[in-house]
Amino acid sequence: MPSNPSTFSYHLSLSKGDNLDPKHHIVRYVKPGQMQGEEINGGAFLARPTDGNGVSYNWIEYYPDPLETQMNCIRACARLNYAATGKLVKLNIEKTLNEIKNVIGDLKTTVNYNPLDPENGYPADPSHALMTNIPEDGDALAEAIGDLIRDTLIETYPAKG
Amino acid sequence: MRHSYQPTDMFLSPDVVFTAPQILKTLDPTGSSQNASQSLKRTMIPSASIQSTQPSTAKTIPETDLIKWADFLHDLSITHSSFGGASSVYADNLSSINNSRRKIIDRYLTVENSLLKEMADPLYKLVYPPQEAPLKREDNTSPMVLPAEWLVLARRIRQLKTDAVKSNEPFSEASEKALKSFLKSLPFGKAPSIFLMESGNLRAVWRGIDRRQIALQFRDEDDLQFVFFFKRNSEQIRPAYGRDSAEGIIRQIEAFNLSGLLF
Repeated sequence: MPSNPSTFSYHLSLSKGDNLDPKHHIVRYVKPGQMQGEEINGGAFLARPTDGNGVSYNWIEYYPDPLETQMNCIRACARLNYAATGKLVKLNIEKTLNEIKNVIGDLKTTVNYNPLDPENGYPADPSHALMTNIPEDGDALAEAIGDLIRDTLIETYPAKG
Repeated sequence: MRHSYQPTDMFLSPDVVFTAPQILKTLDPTGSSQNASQSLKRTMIPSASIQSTQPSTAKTIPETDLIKWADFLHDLSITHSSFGGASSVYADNLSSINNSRRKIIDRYLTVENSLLKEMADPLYKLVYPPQEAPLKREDNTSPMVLPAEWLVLARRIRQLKTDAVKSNEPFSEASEKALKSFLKSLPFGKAPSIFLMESGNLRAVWRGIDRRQIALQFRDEDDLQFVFFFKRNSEQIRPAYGRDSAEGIIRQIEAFNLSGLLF
């Protein structure tokens, strides 16, 4: 249970598809092939075939502080096989969406709550979120957006804790 | 001595060996230690078309060994750069350099000693900067691409390919071919970062500290998808994106005043 009462009540009030608080943070798994040293490819922020109707992220504040606990909970619910040299990349929702809006224009990009139920042997992923209205991978505009998102990253963490 | 290397040499397949390997003897012409690391990097990678000054010592060395050389010499160059200051400071550390040279020889005992000594000479030349002209191609123009950069690129692409195969993910041979073909035609001095997209295509990215960038996804031989971030009369970056031919991309890089990112 989240240790911060205000966060706890906030996430209880959310329904699937609701926008997340723009002050909050999300992380996305980045594969080794999308990194070279400290450089991260913007393509890492485009939809994977497994992502569904948007780009998959995890909402950090869903879980209680401290950050280490939050990251461990996210890792425990992962449906991808995280590589030892992969990274979890942290973004601030507001900063990222503003960057897209300021540079590309208003694409009505959102980050919404999208908890996943248990399925196919995977446990539930209750902090799952989707970034929507990002053009499909393969499109040049999508790549430009991916590169802008990359420029807003706050921090990276090992994919395997 | 004939210096006629071609960037293509660094993209030879892994089973090709380099003949007559030789560390080029051209080092920092100014003798300035600030450039010593870079100078060493520029000189350390031999190429298939470089002719040895001592044919009798010529020996083939597998590319894998050359990669070890590159790593090792690069580490050394960092070590020696950390000494800082003018070349006299390097001289003060002669014993350290001697040790390094011995370490190289010890590490590669399987290779002819005389050749190793020849290859280790650049370390001595950090101490006594040579009065030789900078590396020139046969037509007397500056080299388009530094050999070390090509080795870095070749190694990176190979790694991405190996990882993709291991994890059963797509890797486009057509994209790899397009990337290599494009880079051979492009005058650059700084290796781009190379990434593998979900589609299996390769993407090359040059970024500046001011967020300007050249990013190219190689979809096919003459089909490149680009994302440029550029600045024009403001601090705010502006994007340009789309698809173009290799020739068109080069024109656009110039038009957006981004060619500085390549060096």
